[in-house]
Amino acid sequence: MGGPTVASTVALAGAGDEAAFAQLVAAYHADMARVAFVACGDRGLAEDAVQSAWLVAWRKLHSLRDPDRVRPWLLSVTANEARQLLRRRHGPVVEIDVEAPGDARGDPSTSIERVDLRRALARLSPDDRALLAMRYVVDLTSGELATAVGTSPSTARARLSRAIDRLRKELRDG
Amino acid sequence: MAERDRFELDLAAALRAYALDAPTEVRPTELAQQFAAAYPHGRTALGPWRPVAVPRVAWLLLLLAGLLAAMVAGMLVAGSQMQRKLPAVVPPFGPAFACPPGSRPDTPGPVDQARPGVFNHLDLYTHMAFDRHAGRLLVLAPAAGTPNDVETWTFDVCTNTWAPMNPDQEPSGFAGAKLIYDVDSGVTIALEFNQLRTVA
Repeated sequence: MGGPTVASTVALAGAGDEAAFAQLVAAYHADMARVAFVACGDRGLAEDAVQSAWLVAWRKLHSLRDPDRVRPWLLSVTANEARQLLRRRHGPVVEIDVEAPGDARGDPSTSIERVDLRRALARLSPDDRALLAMRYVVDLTSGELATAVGTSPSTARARLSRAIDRLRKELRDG
Repeated sequence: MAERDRFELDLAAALRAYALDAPTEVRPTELAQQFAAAYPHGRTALGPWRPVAVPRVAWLLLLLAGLLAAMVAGMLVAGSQMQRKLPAVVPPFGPAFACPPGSRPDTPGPVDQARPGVFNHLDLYTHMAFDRHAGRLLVLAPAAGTPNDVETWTFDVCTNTWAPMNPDQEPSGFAGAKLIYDVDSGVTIALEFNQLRTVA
């Protein structure tokens, strides 16, 4: 989605147009699911978080002042819903599954082992995990990231930098 | 964003690979229909109209206007309530005095008529009461040269004339007495310490 199409679609969806809302779901659901999954570390919780986020969007989309920012806004809602779900579950649910060597899902382009990544992510807060996902998984820009976390771009960068430093330490010392 | 270092690149790749497990499957149309059925938008029935985004200051002004309207309404409601009347403490006086027809109370009385004297500070002891039945003022004034004695005078409010009241039977020992007019009996009473005496 791009340019004026996004704004008009958001406007229609905010007014209750089902087709427009379905377009938004088709466009952004995957990104929201990835952010939720990284934040929760659990597929079921991630599904619930995204479902809740879409419900919030259905009800509150009309209040979005800048329709062009709908993507970071949706991701922000998703991160909030994920955090609330985790809180209800009394803490982050990041299961440490032991993968078989040579797992097909492993990425040969990175030197970071999947199991190590999960373990390191589990030591971060859900907000920091969502922040990392928004930056590195769905590639939000610095401005979009600031919109998503509700801070200035510099503050968002500083938070991201701290999260990376923690991960670096965890993975190196790990 | 600053240029990514090797670790950051590795981290990005690892996170993307990790996120491949995310539950991305969805049926957008079904989801939209589900929400629309469960949580219908009230605005849909109104057509293409959409509420204009209202600035926060406008909401604040609206709130203040609402408070002001509530205060005015409250005052109007409170002001329209029946007022509880306190019971009268003073009994009604009866009919007010009126001069007889033909009299001219606005015409000054005789200039050289006799009247109570003014005795320096002793006028502090001069007291008056109004006889409503007769339409006259009763004056109890210290007698000239004898502060313990008094003179009684009347002043007719319809003719503006003074007259000695009891030239031969002044109430001796009532200097400084207070005069009280009794509405019910229509008499004027002089009060001096523990002595009471009618003067008319």
